[in-house]
Amino acid sequence: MFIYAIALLIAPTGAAALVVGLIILLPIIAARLELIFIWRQLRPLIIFLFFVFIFQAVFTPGSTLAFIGPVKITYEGVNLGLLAFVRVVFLVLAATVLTATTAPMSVADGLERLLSPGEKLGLPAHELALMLTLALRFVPTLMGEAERIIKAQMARGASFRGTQIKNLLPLIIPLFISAFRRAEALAEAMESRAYHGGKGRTRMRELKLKTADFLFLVITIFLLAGSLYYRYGI
Amino acid sequence: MEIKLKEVSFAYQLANRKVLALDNIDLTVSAGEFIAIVGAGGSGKSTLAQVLAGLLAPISGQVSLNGNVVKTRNKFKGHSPWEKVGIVFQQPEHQLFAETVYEDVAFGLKNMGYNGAEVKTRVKKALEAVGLDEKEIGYKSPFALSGGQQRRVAIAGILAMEPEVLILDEPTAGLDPVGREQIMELIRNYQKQQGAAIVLISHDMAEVATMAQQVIVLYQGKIALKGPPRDIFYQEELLRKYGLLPPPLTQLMLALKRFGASVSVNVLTLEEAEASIVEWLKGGNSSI
Repeated sequence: MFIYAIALLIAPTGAAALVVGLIILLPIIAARLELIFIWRQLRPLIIFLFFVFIFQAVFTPGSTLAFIGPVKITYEGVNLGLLAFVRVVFLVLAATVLTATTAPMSVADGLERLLSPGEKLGLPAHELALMLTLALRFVPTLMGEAERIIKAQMARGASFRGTQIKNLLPLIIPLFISAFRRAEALAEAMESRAYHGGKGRTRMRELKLKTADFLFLVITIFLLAGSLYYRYGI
Repeated sequence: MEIKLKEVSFAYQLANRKVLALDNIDLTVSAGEFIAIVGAGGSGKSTLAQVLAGLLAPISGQVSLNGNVVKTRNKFKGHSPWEKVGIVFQQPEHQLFAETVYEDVAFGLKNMGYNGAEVKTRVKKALEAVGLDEKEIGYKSPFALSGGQQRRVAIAGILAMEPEVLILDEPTAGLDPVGREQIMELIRNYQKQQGAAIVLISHDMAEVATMAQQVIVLYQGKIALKGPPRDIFYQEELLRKYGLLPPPLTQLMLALKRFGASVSVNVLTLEEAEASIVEWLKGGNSSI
C-alpha cells in the first residue's frame, strides 16, 4: 500500500495516475467489497474534488484549451486538475481497501515488520507499532467517554456551541484526566501480564505473504518503477 | 414538576443494525415521588434515565414536562424547561473539571444565569447538603479530594441547581458502606426539604426496598413489573426471571417460610421482619 501510494503520487500525468490507480481494483475484487460501501466512502469527497478540478483548470496558466465566456481553460490546468482528482480518489480507495480488509492490529504488525530493518539504526519499531495499536484501540473508548461527559455537562446547562476554547474546557479536562487514568491502568495491566518490549517476542498470528499479496506487491513495484522512469527518466 | 413518557421507544445505532433499548415505555414522574428503577445489566435503565433527563430523543413516543410536549435539551438555547430536571450520572466525579470545588459546584448555576451572592449562598447550601464545608474545601482543587468526596462534590453541582426532579444513575456504585449511607441520606434529605421527585437507578435491592415508594423493573427495554416495593420484592421467581434477586431481608423471610415458618414475606425493614418473626415464635399466625 505504501508503494502504491508513492507510485500514485509520482505519476506525472492524470492519465498515468489513472493507470496506476486502476490496479487498486484487483484487491477490491479479491476482497469482494460491495460497491455501495466504496461509494459511501467517496461520496463526501466528490463535490470537493470537483471544485478543486475546476479551480485547477481555470487558474493554471498555460496553452489555451477552450474558452467558456471570458474564462480561459488551459491544457495544463485540465491535466493538473485531473491529476489531483485521480490521485485523491485512488488514495481514498486504497485507504478504504486497507481499513476494510485489514484489522488495525495487523496494520500495526505490518508496520512493525516494515520498520524492523531500522531497528539496527536505533529506530524503536516495536514501540512505534505498539503506540499505533494502542492509539487505534482507544479511539472508540474515548469517543464513548466524550459523549458521556458532554451529556453530563449538558445536564449542568453547558453549551458546546461556541467556538471559544473556554466552552470546551468542561469536556477536555475530564477527558484528559480519564485518558491518563486509563493509560495508567493499561500500563499496570500490561506489566502484570509480564509484558516487556519487542525483543524475542513471538506472535499469536504470524503475517505471511500469500500469492495474491505477492502479486500485488510486484505489480505496484513495477508501476512505481514505471512512474519513476516516466517522470525522471532514470 | 411532572415528567411524562408516552409510548416512548429508543434504539441505539450499532454498526449497521439498530438495537432497541426502550420498548414502548409509559411512565409518569410526579412531584414528591420516589421511584426506583431496577433491572439487569442492559435492560435499558440508563437509557431510560437519559430520556427522562431530556438528553436522548426517543425514536417514537412523546416526552412532556408539566403537560407540554418538549424536545431534548440540546434543542433549547438559553433557558429551557429541562433546567428543573437534574441528572447525576454514573461516577459523576468524572465530570469534575474546574480549578476549585467552588467553581465546579457553581458551574451549573452560572450556566443558568445566576451570579453574585445568589451563587455563593446556593453553592454553600449545596455543599452543606452533601456534608462538606465550603470554607474548608471550597478553594481546594476537586482532584485533591478523596473519591467519595469527589462524588459528593459532583452531586452538589447538581443539587445547587435545585432540580425539582432529581435523577440518579447508581449514585452509590463503588463507594464504601459509609459512603453509600451518606449518599442515600443526602438524597432522602433533599427530597424532604425541596419536595422534589427522585428517580433512583440502583442495583442494591436493600437500598431500593427501604427508600422507594414505587419500583419499576425493566427487562429487555420494557416495564416488566411496577408497584410499591412491598408488592414486588417477594416475587422471587419472577425477579429471577428478570435477572434480579429479592433484597437480603426478603430472601431470609422467604427461606424461613420454605422451612415452614408462618412469617410475612413482604417486609421491607429490619423492624418489620423482627416483629413478624417474634409473632411467629410466640405462636401467632402472621398474615401475608
